[in-house]
Amino acid sequence: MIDETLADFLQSGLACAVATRDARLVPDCVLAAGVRIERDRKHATVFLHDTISRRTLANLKHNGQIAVTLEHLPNHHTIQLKGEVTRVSKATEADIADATRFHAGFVKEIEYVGVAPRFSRRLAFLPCHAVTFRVEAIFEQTPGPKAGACLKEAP
Amino acid sequence: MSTRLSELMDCFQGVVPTGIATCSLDGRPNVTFLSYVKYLDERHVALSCQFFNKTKRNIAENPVAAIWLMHPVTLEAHRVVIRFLHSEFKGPLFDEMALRIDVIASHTGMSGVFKLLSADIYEVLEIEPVEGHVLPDAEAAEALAAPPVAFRAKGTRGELAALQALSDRISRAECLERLIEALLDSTTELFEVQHAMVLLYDETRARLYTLDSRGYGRGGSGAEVGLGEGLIGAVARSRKPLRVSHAGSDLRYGRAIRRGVEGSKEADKLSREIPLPGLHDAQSQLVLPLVAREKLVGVLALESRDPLKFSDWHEAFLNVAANQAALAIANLQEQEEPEDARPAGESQRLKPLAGRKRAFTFYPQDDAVFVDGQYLIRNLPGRILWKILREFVSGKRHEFTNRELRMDNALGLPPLKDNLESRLILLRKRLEEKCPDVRMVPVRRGAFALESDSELTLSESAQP
Repeated sequence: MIDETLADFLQSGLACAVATRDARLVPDCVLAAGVRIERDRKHATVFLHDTISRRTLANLKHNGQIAVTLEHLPNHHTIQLKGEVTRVSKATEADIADATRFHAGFVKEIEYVGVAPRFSRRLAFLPCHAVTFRVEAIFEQTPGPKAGACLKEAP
Repeated sequence: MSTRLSELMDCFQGVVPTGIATCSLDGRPNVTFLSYVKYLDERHVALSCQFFNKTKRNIAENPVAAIWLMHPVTLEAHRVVIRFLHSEFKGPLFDEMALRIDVIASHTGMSGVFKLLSADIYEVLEIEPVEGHVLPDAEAAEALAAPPVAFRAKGTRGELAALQALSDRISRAECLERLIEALLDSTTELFEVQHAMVLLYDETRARLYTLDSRGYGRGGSGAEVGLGEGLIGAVARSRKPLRVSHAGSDLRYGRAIRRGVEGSKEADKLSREIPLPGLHDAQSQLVLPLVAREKLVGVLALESRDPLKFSDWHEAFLNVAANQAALAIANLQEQEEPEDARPAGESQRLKPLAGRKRAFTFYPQDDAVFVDGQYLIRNLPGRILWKILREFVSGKRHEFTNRELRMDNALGLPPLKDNLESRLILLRKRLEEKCPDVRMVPVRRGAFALESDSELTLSESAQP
């Protein structure tokens, strides 16, 4: 589902936004530390900060529908993953190590767009939950006429 | 709502991206990043629509969206729930939002391709501060964008005093050159802006040329921008101020000079390009049109490496100054300065210093003058320079009056609003920058003398 090149891009430390929705179809938006592409290349795990993601975690418990968009801010290259959650758990030590690495990448991204390090380093991402989802579709999301085009869909 | 939308004004400047989540009727969420959310009032925002994308399709089915706004300095976040109301396809809001898109399109060669389809208006339903997004920092608040030092202690009285000082300097200027200096000096000193330039509009050629600047070193005078080209050209064409807080690599308006006029019919209008004095790493820009009596006079352009240098406050405050300066410039341009009745030739002609030589070359194709192989000036100021150089070198004279330049049909000054004074200022500045040993020195009102420390040789060339 996710080839090596795309996996490398998605795990390179990007700006990461997550969308969920509640029972009334009211959407919710939150920033996340990043995603890890699992070995089967069919699942991804996104790391959600416990405090700021309460609503997101509640939505996922209700219906499991998730969309994750990752953008490389310097050139706006953007990919969106959509799928259904298969597992939600407190982050393990290995998860925290991955989240820390992705978060450090995101900090570099926002420093690139002009945020001073004394503020970018204040961004919280721990403690966090690891939310694993089955990737059902991958979309091109780079701004432009092709934004929204489906790149791959799970069989 | 406990948090007012206006308290989040800095979050709307587009420095850090804003996430927007929507949901289709079949329950699948979607999320993407926005570069720009426009504050309208306490209960409404506008989003720009350039493409009919998934967000737009979802909103058509389910009009509620959630946006994640972050403060560009402190990164404190707010979750805002909004509901789509309607789209606007014309009108002042559409025009204002389209201007930003047009500037980006102009810079990236996508004019006519990348354009605003609609300004989408949303009602704000909820604003919720996101607790815990950033670690506490007691000093964070102090680092928020503050008014310039000159105004901090004095409050509104300080602002009024600054406006008064600026207004006084502008109204006291006795000539165009002093007026532009007053505008640039006041702007840079009072507002702590290091980089500022004034471009005047040449109506006959539909181009703007840089008359004076601060913070760019020497060599910026004369740089040109066409109407509609880049940030400066777009502001000139729309006659509306524009503030860009995240200039980025694709929005560096200073390099928007196009390479001549394309197409065979207009091939004869092709001309050399001159680099515009602009910061290659500008992070924020504020460009104000200078408009007097419905006519475009020029543009005041400011830029900074600080992404949050300019706020609504700067835009409003400097617009007052720009309006006053525009009227003063128009008045000075329209009044023909009275000339001193004394005959020419009373000043003493200097003799060149031994061994110093300067070679001037004139290219009639675009009236460009080069000195020692380096570009100096072109168009009308080029023709004026060539005329006075020829008469100077032939030994006939070294003093010239504005009146005789106006009367010389070969120079081709427009019969009305010839802007001769601004051309002479530009010419004098270019000589100071590129060839300081040849000078235009005022000798009395409406007259100047050409002085040269060097021996001059002149030649004409048909080949550019």
